[in-house]
Amino acid sequence: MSERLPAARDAGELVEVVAGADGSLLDIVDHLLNQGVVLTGEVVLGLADIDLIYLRLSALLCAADRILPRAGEGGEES
Amino acid sequence: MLRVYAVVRAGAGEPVEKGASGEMLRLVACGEIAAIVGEGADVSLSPEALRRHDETVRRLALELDPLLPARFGETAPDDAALVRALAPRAAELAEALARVAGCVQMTLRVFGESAEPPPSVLPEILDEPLTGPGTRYLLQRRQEAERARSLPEIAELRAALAPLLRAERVERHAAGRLLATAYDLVARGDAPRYAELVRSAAARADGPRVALSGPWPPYAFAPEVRP
Repeated sequence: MSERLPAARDAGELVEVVAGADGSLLDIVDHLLNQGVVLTGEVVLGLADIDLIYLRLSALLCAADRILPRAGEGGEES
Repeated sequence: MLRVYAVVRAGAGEPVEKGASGEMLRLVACGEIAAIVGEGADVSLSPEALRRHDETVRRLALELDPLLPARFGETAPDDAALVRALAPRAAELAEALARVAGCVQMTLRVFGESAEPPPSVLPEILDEPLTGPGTRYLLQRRQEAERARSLPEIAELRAALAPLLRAERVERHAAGRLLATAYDLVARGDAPRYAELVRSAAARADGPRVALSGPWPPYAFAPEVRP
């Protein structure tokens, strides 16, 4: 089974690790939208309506309903 | 609606951390693996939503090991649907969990001008008269794959890092100043040494600029989705 990491429960270490990593948007977008476990298998091409700085991901594989404005929602999805 | 944050081994115990929207998290088990989910969470895409999701996964990764992050926006209507989605991939996910146990991901980006790939012994082999067309084809495919994984621009640094790598995944980029990204899996305790080696190389390098981030949960070491 996945083991609990008792030492990591220390609040000081937690803050250090969370704050210590470079949380640039490029890294976060790359990791969260281009990597990670995909379970649904039903993905379509969509474009994110956010400033991605420089990104290789000219076409993001994402579920469109999480990126594009839903029908009837006139404003931008953000 | 369930929002999926990560996959862990079954029996990991209920997560203590809360989700990106402050929702309670729980496990949905499927054989020897389980998904960490939050109920009714908003998964609208925005930079802030991505940062909150990433922070949640980081905290979960500190709580539970091994852990494979789920891609942002993975949802399921209910437990049964999620189990149906997990079941066909349970074996490969369990295998991937074993691979990342005790490890973190370091992400190394290389900027600059592309270098010529290192000379290969394959052309000499290809000139051998006894080499048949099938062998030549396979050797060329292997050479192309090796070039796609190589980072000749920072060969010295890669050689220094090699003893620390449990696994690596290199992606070369076709255009722009970002030449390549290396996703390196290293033991949690080796992350400071890895960072120090990169910092030392960056300080003296007159070659391509490298940018390091990490440690991250092992985002890049989830099993590939096959068509």
